[in-house]
Amino acid sequence: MKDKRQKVGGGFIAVGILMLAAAVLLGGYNLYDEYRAGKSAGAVLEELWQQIPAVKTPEETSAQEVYLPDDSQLPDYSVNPDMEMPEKEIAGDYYIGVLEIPSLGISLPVIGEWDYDALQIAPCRYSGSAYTGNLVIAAHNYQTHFGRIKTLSSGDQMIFTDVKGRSFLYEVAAVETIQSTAVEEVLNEEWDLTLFTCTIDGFERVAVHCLKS
Amino acid sequence: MKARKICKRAMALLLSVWLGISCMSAAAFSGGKIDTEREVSMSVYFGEEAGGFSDVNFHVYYVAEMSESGDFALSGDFLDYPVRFENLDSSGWRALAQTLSAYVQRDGLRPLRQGKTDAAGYVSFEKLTVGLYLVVGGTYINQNTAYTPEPMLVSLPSMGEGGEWVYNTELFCKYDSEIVPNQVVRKVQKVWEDDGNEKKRPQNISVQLLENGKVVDTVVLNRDNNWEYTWKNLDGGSVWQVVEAETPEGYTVSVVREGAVFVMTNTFPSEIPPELPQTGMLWFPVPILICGGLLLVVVGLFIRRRRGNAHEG
Repeated sequence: MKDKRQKVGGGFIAVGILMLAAAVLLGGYNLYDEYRAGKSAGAVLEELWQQIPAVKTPEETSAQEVYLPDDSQLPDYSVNPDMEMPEKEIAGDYYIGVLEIPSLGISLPVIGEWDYDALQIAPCRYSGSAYTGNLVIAAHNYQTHFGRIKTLSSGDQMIFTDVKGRSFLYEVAAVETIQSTAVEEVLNEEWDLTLFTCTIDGFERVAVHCLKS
Repeated sequence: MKARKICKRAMALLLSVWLGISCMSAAAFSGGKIDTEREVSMSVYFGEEAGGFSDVNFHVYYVAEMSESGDFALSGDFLDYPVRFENLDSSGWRALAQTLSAYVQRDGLRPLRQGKTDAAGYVSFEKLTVGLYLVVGGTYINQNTAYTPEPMLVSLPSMGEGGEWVYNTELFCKYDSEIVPNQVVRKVQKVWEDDGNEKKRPQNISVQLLENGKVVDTVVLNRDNNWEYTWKNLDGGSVWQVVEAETPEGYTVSVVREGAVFVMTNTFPSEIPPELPQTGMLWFPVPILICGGLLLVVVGLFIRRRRGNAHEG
């Protein structure tokens, strides 16, 4: 009887130690994953910036570049906002531009189409376009990705620059926590730009809605 | 810079007949059931307010059957074209007319009827059956200016201003007018309307360029060229159109020309997903594991110590 109780006590301790070890391993993996995600996004960002041309001012642009032999100009997003956003390919992924959030000190490349593998590397376009004014970007809640967007406030600025070097300036209009099923709320075209990520428990989503400024 | 001017004169009554197609299904009931056995006709006017353009060829094609309630179903030569009628607004109908017009030219479809405008700019088509018709006109050139009618989709009967069915319809032909240039540029831009189904897109799409209805070039669009292509130094006297060589399965296509640009839209019927993607790291088990683990260790130590004390006692 005495040995049995000794064994029960030992069993509790063993399971407890296993749980503590699992916590350490999981926490360690998360920290490593966070470091890896930040590093991968940073490496892509550096290469992407090199590929994005500086936009010329009207004074710098010669008439030959702007006007075609025809009497009409080649259109861009202002002529046909529904056009596909141009992309740059880096290491097998196609990027549509760079998102900068100065108040958080982050600058991230944005992949054109989302899937779970792509989200491991960088934020991804979930839907919409910067040209039609309904861009939605999803990212993991890594501290180096969208983990800190819940701290944004109304009026905070962000800049999205497409791969042609054209920048779009936004201001935060609302920050909210929504249900994971609130898809239509995220797709609401009232907002020019929406960012979202999981809450820390993973059950809900933090959504940051922005308007062009 | 050469001036380009798009004239869009409207005779309100006649134009409303054409644009009325877009809201037909909703309004169909207000006009009552359509007498699908009745003969229908249309008279097309092509010209300016000052006078019509004479001796211009117009072709009429029977595109779709029309039910008593005003719904359409593709028919005959048009049966297999990857287009749709659902949820089209007036610009959607305009794009559909242009898309079908390009198919007609590429595939050399025979018109159901053809006729020339008279001295006043009118051409009439009598004794037609109820249905949806595509009307395609030739270019009228006066001095150095070309007047090119836009292809039109016309439902017969059409919806009148008061919501009633009009079995003998008069139409005003919209047109582009421009000084004939020596050379033109044309660009095709692909648009994908398939949110959530991007994986279903093909890697490449082939687009055919038509000069006066004949295929003169085929280009491949893909991500690497941002799904767009520009042709330069094209003959300014020719009519240029584009057609998607093969539309991917499950998609429909619509092409509309805006100036020098053909916007080619492929649409895949999409549904809103039930849930947003999971974008969280697995942090929540960590505090649970720590608390649970510590608790079990403490309980285990307590049990062992209690036994030890009891034994000493």
